[in-house]
Amino acid sequence: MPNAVIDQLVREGLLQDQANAIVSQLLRESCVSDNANAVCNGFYREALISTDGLGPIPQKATSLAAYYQTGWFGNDSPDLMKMFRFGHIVTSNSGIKLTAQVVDDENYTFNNPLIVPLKIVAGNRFSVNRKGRRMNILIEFPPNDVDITVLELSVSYIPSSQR
Amino acid sequence: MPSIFQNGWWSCGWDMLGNGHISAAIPGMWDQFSGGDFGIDVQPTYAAFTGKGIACSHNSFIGRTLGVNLNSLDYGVYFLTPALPGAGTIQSFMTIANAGATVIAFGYNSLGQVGAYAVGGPGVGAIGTQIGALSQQNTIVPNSYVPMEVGFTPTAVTLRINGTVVLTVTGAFGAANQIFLGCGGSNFSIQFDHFYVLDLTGAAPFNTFLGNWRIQTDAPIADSATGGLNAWGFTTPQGTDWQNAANIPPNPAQNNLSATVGARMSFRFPALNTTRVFGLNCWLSAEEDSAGTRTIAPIYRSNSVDQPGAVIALPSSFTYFNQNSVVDPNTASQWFSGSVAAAGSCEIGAEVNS
Repeated sequence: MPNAVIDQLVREGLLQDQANAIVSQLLRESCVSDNANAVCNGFYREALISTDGLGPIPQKATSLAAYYQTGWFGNDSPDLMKMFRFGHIVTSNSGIKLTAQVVDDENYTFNNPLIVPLKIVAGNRFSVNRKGRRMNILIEFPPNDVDITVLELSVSYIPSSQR
Repeated sequence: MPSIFQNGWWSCGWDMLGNGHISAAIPGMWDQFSGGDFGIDVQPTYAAFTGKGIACSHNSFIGRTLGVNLNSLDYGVYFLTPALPGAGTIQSFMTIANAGATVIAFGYNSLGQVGAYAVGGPGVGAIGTQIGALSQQNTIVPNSYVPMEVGFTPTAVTLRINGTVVLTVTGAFGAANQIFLGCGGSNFSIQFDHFYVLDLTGAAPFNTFLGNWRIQTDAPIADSATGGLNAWGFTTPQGTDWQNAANIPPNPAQNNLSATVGARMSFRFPALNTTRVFGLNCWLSAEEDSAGTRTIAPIYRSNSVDQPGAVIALPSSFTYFNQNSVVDPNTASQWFSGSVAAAGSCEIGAEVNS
């Protein structure tokens, strides 16, 4: 008769256990290698050097304007000090800039005139409001490729004193 | 932010940037920025001499926080205005500031006179409250690049153009920690190039105005002359350390990388055409490519003698860093008093530090 042989018999009881497992902290400390690469995508040398021997810096010539300098207003009566009040300019196109050079032979000479940027306002007029014996106007035409004709340019003044 | 000064100076020539508009602050280089009406443009046509310069449109500015409060400093920049402003307008173009507040600002008028101002200026706001007298008429001449240098002390500020003092103002000025360049006033663009600033702690020549200076920027032209010194891996293309590092502007897809502590890359640069070298400064664009802690150190190498720079902790996005050098590691004498050829042939590179 074969025997029934049992070499282990255990009981697995599926029980309700009232004890709580309490974990107040769980950390992982890993000792691993850092695989981050250092990455470089640009490397430049800036040399702070002397400008000796380079000469002057070339003027910018990318937008060279055209200029016209008028003759001297007021030169017909140089003995008369004048208050140049305003001027009037009429052109066939827009974009010009005006600069006045005023000479009084005292503080401002031909070699060192008073330079006055002029602003054209409504009515094609520009205000000068400077005293002098004579003045001229430098017209700077725009660098754009356009035709501009100066039809009229006048300067008005009030006689101030003879001296 | 730590002090930007190394050996008493910091410089930037804008030459390593790409042509076109700067649209934001440049991390590691210019931390203050506003595009104003039409932005800030980088182009070779805005350069004094060679390289590139910037053009600041109406109401735009670029600025650098110094990372240190200075009671005295000198700085220099090449300056060009295409025009003078209209009568009654002050064209502001430079500000020395403290945390966004004006210490002293500079502007010029329709007669080409430069003045100093206590309120506003690029980076701050509308300029106002003149300090002292104006300079002579026609101090500012349109369409001509000029070297302009500012000397700032607690009691006096001087402005020099072409090496000549054109304006001196006195007062009680507080500490400064920012410099702004920009354009306020009329609607045109002011150009700048070759910027340097001194904290006046450096040895001569970095303890006073440099006078006749310019910044020559060059990209690498070859790997090291010493075998084994270009151990960083590289992307293909370009396929070499030096070519990946020579892109202007930097190309994020073409880079050199290494996670090996001690690995070096070292570059050769072209000869320098000058009579005297004030100092060398390297700019690098770098990052770490994944989470971790990777540091590098720039290294100058002259005649096989190394000069390590300060350790740089890399961020996770490409950022500019710089390291300058004032002494030839081979001779221990200043580049200023040494051989131009030696400065030109000095290799510059970096090593993975940790």
